[in-house]
Amino acid sequence: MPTTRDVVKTGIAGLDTILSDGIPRGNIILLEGAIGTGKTTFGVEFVYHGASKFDEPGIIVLFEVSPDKLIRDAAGFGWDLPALERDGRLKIIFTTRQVFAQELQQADSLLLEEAAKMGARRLFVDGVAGLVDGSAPSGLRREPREEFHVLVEGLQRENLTALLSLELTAEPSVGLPEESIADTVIRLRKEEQKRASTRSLEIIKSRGQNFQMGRHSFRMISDRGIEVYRRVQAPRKASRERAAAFDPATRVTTGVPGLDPIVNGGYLLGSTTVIAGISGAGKSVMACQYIAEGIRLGERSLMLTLDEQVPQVLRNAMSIGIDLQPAIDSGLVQVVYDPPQEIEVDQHFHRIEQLMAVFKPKRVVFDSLSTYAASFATDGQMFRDFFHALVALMKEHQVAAVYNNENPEMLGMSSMMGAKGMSSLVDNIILLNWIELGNVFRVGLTVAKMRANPCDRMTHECEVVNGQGMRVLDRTMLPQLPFARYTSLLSRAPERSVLAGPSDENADNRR
Amino acid sequence: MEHEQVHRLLDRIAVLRDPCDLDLLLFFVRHPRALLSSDQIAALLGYAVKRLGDSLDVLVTVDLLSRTQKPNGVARLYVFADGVAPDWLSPLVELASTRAGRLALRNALDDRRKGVPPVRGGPAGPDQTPEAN
Repeated sequence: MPTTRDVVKTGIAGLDTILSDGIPRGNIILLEGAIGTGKTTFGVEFVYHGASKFDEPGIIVLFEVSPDKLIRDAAGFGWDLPALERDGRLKIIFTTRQVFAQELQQADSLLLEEAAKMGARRLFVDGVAGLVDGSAPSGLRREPREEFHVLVEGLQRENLTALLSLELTAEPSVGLPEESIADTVIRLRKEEQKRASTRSLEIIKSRGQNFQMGRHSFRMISDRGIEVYRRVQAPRKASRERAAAFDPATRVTTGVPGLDPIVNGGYLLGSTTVIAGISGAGKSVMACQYIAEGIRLGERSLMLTLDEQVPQVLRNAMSIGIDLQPAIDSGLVQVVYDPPQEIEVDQHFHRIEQLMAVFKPKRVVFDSLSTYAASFATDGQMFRDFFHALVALMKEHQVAAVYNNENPEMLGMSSMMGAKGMSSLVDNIILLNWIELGNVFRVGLTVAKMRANPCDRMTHECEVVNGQGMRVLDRTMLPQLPFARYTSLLSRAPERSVLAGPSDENADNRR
Repeated sequence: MEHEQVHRLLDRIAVLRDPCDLDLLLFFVRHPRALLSSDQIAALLGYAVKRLGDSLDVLVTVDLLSRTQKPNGVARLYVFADGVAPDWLSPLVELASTRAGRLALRNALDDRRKGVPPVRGGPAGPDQTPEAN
């Protein structure tokens, strides 16, 4: 018995991680799924990577698909199958199920002789349904389970790692006979989501190894092939769990004049900050200033936007005097847009993980959390799982992350994070409110929560000046009656304080 | 033009004598490594087994096709153009990739089989269907 783990890497992007590095060599893999789920592409890629990357020649056995069409379709993914054939590392054999089943039962099988001659280590058989020998006399016919068992025995004799695709016409409610005989069972699905379809992959079982359970998303991408994205809920490395805290010493300044003093000098590294407020209150302006502050300090900064496309973000930043383009060109800043329509959560999270791993930002802004929530509208649990995973990822990378969150209430707030119930995950919450005084909406900023920090919870007035951005005004030095002279600012019916004296009357006249 | 093109091409391909030869060759272009019995190939192409066997022999004789069989095997492994493909193969496949081109080739081969001299520049003959099994 081998003492070290001898695994066959699939080479399919993202899949080997889910499989704990690969599939034990010699396993018989059943790949099942309905029409159009990607079984043939998966099988061809498995053999292609074996022959081209891992020095493991392979054979593809086809029953209905014409080899020239298979070669054409593979070329669309950038796989040059004819080149592998010329090098003797791949053979594509067209046959019938009847011949194939009979071949595997013969000691001097032509098929297996071909495999041995080229040193094949991998085999993909496209479509094993119906391998029962219908030509055999009725008295000699075997049960499908027995027939499949005979097929598997033939493959195991040759120590091939064989991938057998099986077309499902319906999701089986109980295990199929083939599933109990195969060593590894992978099920591909097409899942309907409203009017969209997504593909997912689930490892039902795999003998001799650990793997990550559940449905993981995957896509088939031109010029690349299949990319599998671990489901967002799947556990990541232990370091991410251990990093679920922030650096209690390092502050990251906000870039908004007047804000740092009321957040104790800045957000802590590794902390999670939510800026909540109605649309137009200044959340995106604050986000731009946060990124601009990173540029000023030479810190890599990332803005991930679902609400506005990159040119629009750049134009808005320019309107408050921030030119992001030179920092983008120099590699100090990345602004990434992902359209929120039909967002696929595993793939989106994978993209963020890649950005964090490669770009290594110190500051990250998400604009906005509410758009994520709207995208996952029918699945609140999915949103919570995604946000949990996002917070853990940011903490692992010790990033000071800021999440904008649109609060639908025009005046005041009855809840800091709406119905999301996520505030316990958040370290800092800053509320931006419109406050109607006289015939003017003024903007009030309240630091509602600062985990492990003092927090005065006073409401401060802010203003956004064209070409300059936002600043938090001193509560007592204002050109108009200051907020300090009012009570119940967030109550939707603020009142003048009874302490207002003659000087306040003068101030009131300035309004 | 096509008629002329067909005859010029077939003049270079002495091996093809019968429409079945052509259809079999095109089958192996699409399936260059096939593990099948001759009965199965005949069924796939719609020819009588005897006729198809003759065409298999033609392709094997000129080394366009190799075949291997085990004593107890029901099928043979056919490998097409394992070495260098002849220079006429590519234009032949291209011409046969359209229905009109394939029919013109078949008709010209049918004429050859019957000993009808080619009419240079003339129209293609009537459609021919594969022989019944």
